[in-house]
Amino acid sequence: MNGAPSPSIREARDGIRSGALSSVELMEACLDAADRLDNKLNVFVTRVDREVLLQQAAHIDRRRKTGIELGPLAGVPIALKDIYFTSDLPTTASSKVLAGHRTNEDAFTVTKLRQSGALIVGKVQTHEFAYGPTTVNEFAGPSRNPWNPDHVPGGSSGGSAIAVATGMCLGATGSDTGGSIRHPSAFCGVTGLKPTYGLISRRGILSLSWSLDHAGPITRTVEDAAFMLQVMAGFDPLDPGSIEVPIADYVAGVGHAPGSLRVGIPREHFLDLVDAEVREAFDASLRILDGFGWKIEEVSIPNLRYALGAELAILSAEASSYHREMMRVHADDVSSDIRKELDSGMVLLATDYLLAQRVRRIIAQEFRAAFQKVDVLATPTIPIPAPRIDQSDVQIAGQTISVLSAIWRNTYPTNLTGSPALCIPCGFTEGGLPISLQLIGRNFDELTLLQVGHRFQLETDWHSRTPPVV
Amino acid sequence: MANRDLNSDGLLVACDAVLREIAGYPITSDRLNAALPLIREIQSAIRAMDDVDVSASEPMTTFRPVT
Repeated sequence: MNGAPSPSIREARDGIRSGALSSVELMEACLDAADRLDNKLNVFVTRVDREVLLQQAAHIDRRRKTGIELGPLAGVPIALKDIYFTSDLPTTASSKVLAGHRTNEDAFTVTKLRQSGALIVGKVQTHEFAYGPTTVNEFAGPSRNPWNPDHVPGGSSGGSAIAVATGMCLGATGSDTGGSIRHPSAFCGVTGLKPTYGLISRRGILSLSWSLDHAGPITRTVEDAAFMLQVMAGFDPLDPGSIEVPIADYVAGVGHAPGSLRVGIPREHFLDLVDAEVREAFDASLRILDGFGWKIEEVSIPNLRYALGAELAILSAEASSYHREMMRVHADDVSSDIRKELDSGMVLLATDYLLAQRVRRIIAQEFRAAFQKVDVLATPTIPIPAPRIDQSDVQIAGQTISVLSAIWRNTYPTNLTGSPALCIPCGFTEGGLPISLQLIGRNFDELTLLQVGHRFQLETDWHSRTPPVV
Repeated sequence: MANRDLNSDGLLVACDAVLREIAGYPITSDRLNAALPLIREIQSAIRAMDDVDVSASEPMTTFRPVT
């Protein structure tokens, strides 16, 4: 375990299969972590009953002993962001509007996780309706960063990242519309993967913005992300955004890092406003990649400066459209920050929405051109470490910008392009807050990203550290 | 925030008219006032895209990643 708060999925899987670890033991450890820390960090919306989970874990152990074949995630405790539909638990999106709301069906990905033998431990907090990067909620209260509870955990998949970082589960699901898998993964010191748009079905996941929403895993290690991706990926004919592509063997392939690789550093946007400690950790990460014999070079994506307008127009219009009927009836029950967002999206011109979709194509084409020169792009995941819960602005390089603008600055461009993006811990600030490296890949080339990330984690131990609160 | 006079702010007047008269979206002046700074921020980012030459670019209305 290398000092980590829990075994990795790989370690747990191997241990359960060999009999060296029982599924019951593993589940008890996760439940104990949740008992100790849930109230302090505000992680779960709904927890599955302890006895039910221990019975499910015992069932896995009995199957092993009798030689029945186990699924790929058999006995692995997994938490679900509370926008994934579940037949047995409410799905609330951490909102007063949906308190107690039941869907009576599982999301496509939840069905796949259950079929793999994963044990669902509960539903975890999100920024309300997944519409924000901090998981500081008026209704549900603020979730807290396990590395320093006075700071935000990031969002919107904040509960997922906290649960993984503190050993309440070994993996969790997230969703990412402007960076919502990557923000909490970065701030909580864990690994997050936003796969290519269309690789993982969104059916049964509450939408924020149809054309920007991505589902994906949050785990402690890159290898664990490969295990979860292997289960979650796959064509779903009932998801209009799902794309039928061959699914690589991520688990078998993750350990085979390429001998030669071209790593691109975007000349524009991503490094324009970066905190000094984050920049230092990023540069150190590049030296590690360089040490593998990989070539580091600059690339240009000139129209990135227009990505913010495109993201805002598309996100605002689609989110306000999705929630339009709800807002007619329940606006007073929606938190004030989300209400402002949803009201703002109602006054966009259709021509501006289409302008954004035209600019989006140009930016996507520029990414494709960049990937003809390099195999992956590397950037800081977030230009700043986790801000305090009460902090609204941040100073970077002499400029004052809003915390919200800073958090998603390096993540939203790949929601426009649909590109896969992996974030991995790459250092800590002097104050003990995690710093994260983002690797962006060619569409549907998750395997290369996982290989690069895993190689990085073989060389570093940032992902194996335990938050002091644990 | 104190409510601004509907007659004193062009954007506020425009938003109010769009929401009430065109969208049929019920909204109080308090809510509109609260949203106005964000509306300005979003509109500012959107108008920056006017500098882009999109003449050869179709909108990605059915989104598919470029491969």
